[in-house]
Amino acid sequence: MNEHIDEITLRQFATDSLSEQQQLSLLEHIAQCDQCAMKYSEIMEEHLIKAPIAMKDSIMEQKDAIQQADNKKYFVFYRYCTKVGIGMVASLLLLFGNPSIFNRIDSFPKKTQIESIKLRDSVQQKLKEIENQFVFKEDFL
Amino acid sequence: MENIHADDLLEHWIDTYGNLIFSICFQMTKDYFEAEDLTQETFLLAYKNQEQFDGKYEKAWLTKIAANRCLDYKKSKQARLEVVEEQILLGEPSKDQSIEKMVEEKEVEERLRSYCRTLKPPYDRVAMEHFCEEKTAEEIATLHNKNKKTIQTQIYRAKAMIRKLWKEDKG
Repeated sequence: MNEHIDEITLRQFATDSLSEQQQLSLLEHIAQCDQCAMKYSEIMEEHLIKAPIAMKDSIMEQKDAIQQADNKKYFVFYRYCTKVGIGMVASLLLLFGNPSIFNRIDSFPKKTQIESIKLRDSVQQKLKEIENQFVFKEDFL
Repeated sequence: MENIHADDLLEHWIDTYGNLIFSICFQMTKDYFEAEDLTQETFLLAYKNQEQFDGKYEKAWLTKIAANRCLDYKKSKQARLEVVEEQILLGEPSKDQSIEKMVEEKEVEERLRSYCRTLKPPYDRVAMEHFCEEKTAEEIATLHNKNKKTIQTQIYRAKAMIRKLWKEDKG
C-alpha cells in the first residue's frame, strides 16, 4: 500500500474489523508513514486504556541495565587501549631512551652484534603489530 | 549531562504517551501483558535510537515504533500457529467480533478484576490491590505490614498466573 490510508479504513483497523492480512498490510504502512501514524494515534486517543501502574518503573530499570551494559563495553575497550599505550611507550623508551646502546653494539663480538640486531628488528616488528591492533578498535564496540 | 537529558526525555515520553502506546499494543494483541511488554520495548527502542529522531512529531514517531513491534509480534505469532484458522485465509473478520467496537478501558479493568478474584489467597488480594487499585508493592507492604520483597514476589507470581489465564481465555 503506497497511498495514505483513509480515515474510514483506519477506524475499521482500530475496531478490529479487518482481516488478519489487511491488518498486517496496514501495520506495515503505519510503521513507515508519519502522516498515517499520526492519524491512527489520534483515533486511538479517543479510546485510551490505562497502562499498568508499574510499567514506567520497569522501563526505567531496563533502561539503566542497558546503560550499564554499554558503559562496560566502553570500559573494556579503554582499558585495552591504555595497556597498549603503556606497552608502546615502554618499548620506545627502552629502544630510544638510551641511544648509547646502539653505539655499544659495535663493540660487541660479531655473533652478539648479529643477535642484537635481530632482537632490535624483532622488537620493531612487534611494535608495528601492536600499532595495527590499536587501529582496529571497532572490534570492541 | 547527555544521559540526564536522554533520561528526562524518556520519562516525558512515557508520561505523555504511555497510555496511547499501550492502547495501540493492546488493540493489536488483545493481551494485557503482551501489550505491556511491547509498550516497554517501544519506549526502550525509542531511547536507544534517540539520535535518529529529528525532534518533530514525537507522537507519530513513537506510534511507528509501536506499529513495528506489533508487526513483529503478529508475524511471529502467525508463524507459531500449528493450524491456520479458515477465517484468516478467507479474509473474514474474527468470529469473536460480532459487533465492531473499540475495546474500552472498563472492559479491560473488569476482565483483569475477574482474573484477580480467581486467584488463591494471598495472591488474589495482592493482585487486586496492585493491578486494579494501582497500589505499588511498597504501599501494599506498608498497608499489610509485610516485607516489600515478599509482596514483590507475590505480585510477580500473580502476574504470571493472570497472564496465563488471559492467554487461555483470549477473546
